[in-house]
Amino acid sequence: MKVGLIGSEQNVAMHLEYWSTVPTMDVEPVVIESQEDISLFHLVNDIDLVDLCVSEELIEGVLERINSQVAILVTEVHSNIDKYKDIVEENTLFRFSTSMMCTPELTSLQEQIKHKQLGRLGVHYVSLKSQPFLPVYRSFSHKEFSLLQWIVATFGAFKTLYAKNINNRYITTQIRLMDDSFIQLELARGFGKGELTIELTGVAGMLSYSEEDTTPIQLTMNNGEEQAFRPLGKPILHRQLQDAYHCFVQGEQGFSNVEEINKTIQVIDAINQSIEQDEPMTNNGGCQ
Amino acid sequence: MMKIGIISFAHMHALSYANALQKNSHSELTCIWDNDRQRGHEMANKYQTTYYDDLDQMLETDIDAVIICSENVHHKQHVILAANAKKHILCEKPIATEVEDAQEMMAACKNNDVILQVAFPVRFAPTIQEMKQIIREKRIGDILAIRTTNHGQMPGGWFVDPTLSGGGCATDHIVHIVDVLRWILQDEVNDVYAVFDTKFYDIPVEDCGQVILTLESGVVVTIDPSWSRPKTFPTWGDVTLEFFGENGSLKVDALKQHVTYYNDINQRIEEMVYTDDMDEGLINDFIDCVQQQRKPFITGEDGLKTLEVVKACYRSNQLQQKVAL
Repeated sequence: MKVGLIGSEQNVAMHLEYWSTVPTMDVEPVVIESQEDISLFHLVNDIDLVDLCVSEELIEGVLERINSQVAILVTEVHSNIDKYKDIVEENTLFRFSTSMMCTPELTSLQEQIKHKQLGRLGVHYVSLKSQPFLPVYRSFSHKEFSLLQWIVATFGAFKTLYAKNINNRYITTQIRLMDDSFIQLELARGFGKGELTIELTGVAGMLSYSEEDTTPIQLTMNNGEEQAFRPLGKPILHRQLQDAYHCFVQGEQGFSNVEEINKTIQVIDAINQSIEQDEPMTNNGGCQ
Repeated sequence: MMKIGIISFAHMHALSYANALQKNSHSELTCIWDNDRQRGHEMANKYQTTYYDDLDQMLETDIDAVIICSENVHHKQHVILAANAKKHILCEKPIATEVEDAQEMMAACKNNDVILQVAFPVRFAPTIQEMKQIIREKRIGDILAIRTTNHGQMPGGWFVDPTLSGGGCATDHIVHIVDVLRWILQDEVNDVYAVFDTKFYDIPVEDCGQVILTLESGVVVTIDPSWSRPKTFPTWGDVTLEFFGENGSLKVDALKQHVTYYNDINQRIEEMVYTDDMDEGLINDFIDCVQQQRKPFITGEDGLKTLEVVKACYRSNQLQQKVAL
C-alpha cells in the first residue's frame, strides 16, 4: 500500500517519522507550501491513502485536486472547514484524527464507556482549562474542538443543551444526552496552566481523571519554581497516525468519521445558539 | 448553663449536634423527643439524658432551646410548636419543604420573640471561611463564574420518601451551596435552569441533576447536587467550589484536608477529614447567639431564600425552561 504524504516541508518531515515505521506502507511525499505548488501538483494513481498536512489556506485547493475515491486523513480541524465541507461529505473515505481523540487517557476512558463498565450512565463532568488562545473553529480552540469530538464519539448525540458564555473566558454547557445522562462541560480560558479533568459516573461506579493528580514527575527548584513532566511515550501525532492507519486497514466503515465531525459541528452550533438566545436548545436546532 | 432539647434523631446530623453539645461547656443536652420510641430511648441512653414520648410535655420543661432534626416535612410543625413554647430554635436544613410553610415558621418565631437559626454548617468550615476572605479581598478580581458540587452517597431511609423529604438530592444539597454563595457574595439568584433525573437508584426521588444559576450581578453558577458517589468512594461526598475571576481562579475543596486510611477490614480506602468540625462551629454559634440574644448568624430568611431557589429549580426541571425568581 502507498500513502501520499502531502504538506509543508516541516509537517511532511514530522509525519514521515511515523510512516517510516510502518513496513506495509510505501510513502510518496509531496511538499506543498504555496498556491503555485498546488497548480503543479498531480497525485500519482496508485495512492491508497492521502495524509494531508498542508497549511489551512491551502487545504481547499489541494482537496479539489484529489480523486474523491482516495482515502484522506487530516490530523487537524481547520477554521475554514465549512468551506470544504462539501468535498469532505462527497468523499466516503475521509477521517479527521484530532489530537485529544488519541491521547492515552481519553482513549482509556472511552474504552471503559464503550464496554459499559459503569453500567447505566449518570452525571458527568468534563473540564478543559487552557491558556489564552487564538480561536480556530467558531471561537473554539483545536483542543476544545477535539474534546467535543471525543464527547460525541464517546456518548453520541445530545438531546438538549444549555450554554452560558462569560466574556469568552468561561463557557459552561449542560448537555443532556439521548440516554438521559448529563454532562457538564466547562471550557475555561486563560486561568493559569492548561488542565483536563473528567469525572464519569454510572450505577456501577465512577471513573475519574485529573491531569493535575496524575502528573508523575514534579521538579521543584531551590527558588520555588516548579515544573511538571508528563511523559507519554509515543508522541500524540504518532498516536493519531497510528489510530488512523489501524482504522484504514480495517476497512471503509471504520475509517470515515465525517458523521462524527458533523455532529461535533452541530454541538458547537447549538452551544453558540444557546449562548446567543440564552435558552436551552434541542437536537433539532430549536429552542426547548 | 443553657438547657437544650433535641427534637428527633431522624436526620443523622442530630448525632453530630449532640456530640457538639456535650463538648460545649455552656450547654447541656437535657432531653430528647423522637417519634421513633426505640431510637429515642437509644439516644437518651447514649447521651445520658431524658427521653420524652410526648413532645408537648418536653416543651413544657425549662429548656431554653431546641434543635430540630426531624424529617423535612415535619420541620414546620415542630418549629411552630417550639416557638409557641418560647424555645429558641436551631432547625436542620432545608428550613421546610414549601415556601409558605417557611414563611409561617418565621412568623411564629417572630411573634413569640424566639431565635430561629437554620443549620447551614458549611459556613463554619475553616476552608470556606478562608475562601470568603480571599474573595472579599478581591484577590482574583470580579467573579465571572463559579462551578460548585455538593455530591453525596444516596442516604436512603426517609430521604428518598418524597412525602417526608419533599424531594431528593436537589432538596438535600442545593441549599448548602446557595447559602454559602449568598453569604460570601451578598448576591441573590436571578434565574435558574435545572435538569434532574433518577439514574443511579430505583427510588421515587431524583438522585442526580445539574443546575445553572444566574445571580443578580450576572455571575453564572453551576451546581451538581447528585447522590452520585459510589459505595467505594473514600468519603461521604464533597463540597467544592471553583471561582473564576478577572485575575485568576480559586479552587476550594472543603474536605480536602484528610488522612488517608487504607482499610483492609472494610476493603476500601477512606479519607478522614482532620480540620475543625463544622457542626461543632454551628452549635457553638447557636449557643452564643441565644446567650447573647443577638441576631442569628444564619437566619430564617437565609433558609427561606435557599428554599425559594430549590423550588425554582424543580419548576425549571418540570417546565424544561429557565425560571426567574
